[in-house]
Amino acid sequence: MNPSAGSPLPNSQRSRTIRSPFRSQAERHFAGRFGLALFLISLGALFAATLIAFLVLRIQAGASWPTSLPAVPWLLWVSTVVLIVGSGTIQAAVTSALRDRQSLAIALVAITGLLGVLFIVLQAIAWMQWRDAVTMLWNEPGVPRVAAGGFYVLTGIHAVHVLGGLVAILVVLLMAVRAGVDKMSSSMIRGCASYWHFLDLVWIILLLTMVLAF
Amino acid sequence: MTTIPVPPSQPVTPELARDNYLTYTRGIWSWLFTLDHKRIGVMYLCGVLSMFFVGGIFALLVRTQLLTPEGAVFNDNANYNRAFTLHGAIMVFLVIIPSVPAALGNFVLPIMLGAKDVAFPRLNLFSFWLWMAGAVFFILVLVNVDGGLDTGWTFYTPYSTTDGMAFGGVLWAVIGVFILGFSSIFTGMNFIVTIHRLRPPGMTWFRMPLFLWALYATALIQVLATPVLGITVALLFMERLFGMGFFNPALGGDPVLYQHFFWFYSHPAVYIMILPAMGIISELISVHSHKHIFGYRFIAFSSIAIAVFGFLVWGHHMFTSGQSQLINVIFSAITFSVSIPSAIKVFNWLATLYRGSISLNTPMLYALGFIVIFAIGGLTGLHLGTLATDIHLHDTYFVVAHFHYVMMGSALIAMIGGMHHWWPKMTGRMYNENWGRFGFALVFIGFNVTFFTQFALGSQGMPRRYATYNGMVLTDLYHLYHVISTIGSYILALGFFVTAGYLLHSIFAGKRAPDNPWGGRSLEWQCTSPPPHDNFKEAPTVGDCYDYSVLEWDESQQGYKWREDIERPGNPHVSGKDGHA
Repeated sequence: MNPSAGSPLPNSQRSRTIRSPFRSQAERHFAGRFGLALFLISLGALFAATLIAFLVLRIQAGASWPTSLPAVPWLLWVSTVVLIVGSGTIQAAVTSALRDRQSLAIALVAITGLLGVLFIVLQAIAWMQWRDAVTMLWNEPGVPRVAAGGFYVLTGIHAVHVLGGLVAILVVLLMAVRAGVDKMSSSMIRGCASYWHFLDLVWIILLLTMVLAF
Repeated sequence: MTTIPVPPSQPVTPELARDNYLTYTRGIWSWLFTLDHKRIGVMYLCGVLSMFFVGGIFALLVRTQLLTPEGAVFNDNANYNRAFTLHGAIMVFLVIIPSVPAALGNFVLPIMLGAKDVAFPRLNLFSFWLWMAGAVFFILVLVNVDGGLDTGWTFYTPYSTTDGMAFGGVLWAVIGVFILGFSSIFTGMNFIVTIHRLRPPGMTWFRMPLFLWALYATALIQVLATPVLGITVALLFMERLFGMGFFNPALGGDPVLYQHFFWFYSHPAVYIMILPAMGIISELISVHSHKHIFGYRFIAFSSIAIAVFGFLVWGHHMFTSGQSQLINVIFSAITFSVSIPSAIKVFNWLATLYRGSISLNTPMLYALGFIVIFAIGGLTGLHLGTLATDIHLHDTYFVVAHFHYVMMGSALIAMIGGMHHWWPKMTGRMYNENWGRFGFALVFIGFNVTFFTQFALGSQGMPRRYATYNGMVLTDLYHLYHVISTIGSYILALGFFVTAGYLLHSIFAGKRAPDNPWGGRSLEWQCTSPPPHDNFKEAPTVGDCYDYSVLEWDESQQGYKWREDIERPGNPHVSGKDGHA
């Protein structure tokens, strides 16, 4: 095959061409969802490993686990509700994007973003509440440090992933505002929605684990 | 009747395709921000080989230190610790893990599929940048930021988490490992989606080249196991920085927990290294013996079987760490079972060689070398998987020899063999075959002199990671073995320099490569050398990629071409009698 047989692009356009290996836009979006699913499986393995590490230490601690450990801050229940409502709004954004109700979709994505920010703020306040409650335990000899510190690790790793989701939402929002809700951004909103549901699921498992283990 | 003098047929060297991926755009930025999988693969290759050079220097320092029982290089034993740690960490995380999947895989995988690119070209570039970022952290460690790194590549606690036991460079190194892990995850995701969604019409799962099966199995491990390494080093980081107490018994933690987590990734990581190497060998053996691969399905399924078993054997690294006897026995038994799919592959390669017309090209020499070395490396793994012998051999040079036979002698040698195999495709140039064979001879001899000696050394009880070995009962014996081993490492290094020399020479002065120098049937041999920017204008349909009966040697091109007495189906990319399927 002679590569110069086809009509090659002029040099000036070459660096700018975006080439998709897919035959159609639909296939490209399907592959995107497939890739996201793999990524969520990978993150699932990450959270599962974190949880296993925590549970192993919790079980090994046995009787040395402090009885004076406070319950998780009540604020976490509020942030749980905020996160789940966010799942609802982003799912509604998916639906309205499919029905081509553009401004509604954009508004719902924006609301989800704000709920995400609110979630982070609530988590930060809960961290401070927790710090006040466990200061004494942190340096107490014989008490497993993971009793006081595990809270930060579990909520912290989840919060980092919420922050990552907020970046994605911001990107989608900018794209949708600039170019309208087209096939591309609509597909990305779907991706954000899947990711948000995943964060919900992970959070509920983490919260229940903490409630039961502490 | 006059005779017209027939001009003697002159060998026509094929023109270097003018418009190929190397000349498509120009300038350093067009490389660094390229979305072309071929360029990304080449950049990975350059990066990996540079880090291989750095890691190799440390290996030579380590070997030279052991020339005398008192230590010939380092005054301070901590410097010896730094040297072997950097050697191990660089070679594992920056060289072997990305070498085949990220470097060769990126270049070859989409072309083998007849695709324009991987499924997510931008993510691919992002993976490469993550790899670069991870490498930067290791370079910081290299220049001894915070005292450098001396924990061994495994970052075992409590060495790594206790101030005063290990230097602070461990923090930088684990950030690097974390970033490299995500690079690896994204590459794996990309390959899985690419193989699922971008196979051309006619290429069913069981018509894929076996290299793709191997990369697929590897990608599964990358996606599932690497996040566990990510969280492990993240916990290590928090432990060291904030004293979280996960791995410190004084704070209610468990150091063996770290080992479980580390090996839960790092054992499958061994298969991230060896599986794609086995995939390369499957291609090389079949192409260079011009014979259909034997037992295709068995090789394909054994890749998946190895990937699955690889997740269930991590405890064999910890027989002496205080696991329960029951767990030890279970891990030992599962470890033995991994040898079954590995042996299936070896026997199928041997059966492929049987009555093939073998061309002893440089890639084939590396493939044959691989079979010998992998057999030794694999079989000595059984000694270590056996509980009774492992107690004796644990942390001796026997272990060092075993994993060098597998990780370096197998994974890396296969990578170098694959690099020679695809070199004409990547660069459009042929290297000097005689120099290639000479380089292989040096590498093969040097490798075995270096590491076979270490089996003897280890079985006599020489512990690994010792900077000096004077004053031991067997010091004289150890000294002899160490001297032999060090001489071997110099031969090995010479072999690599020879290899680097003729490969570099070929870029500037090598003969132009034909499209199909070896007689391969998979799709990468159907595009020009080097391939054009878009690989194929339209997705080709595919035949049996191991059926070589349709090819013949073309003297004028110095390469293989489609046989003239066999009709080639209409599409120029359609190949094979069964191409219409």
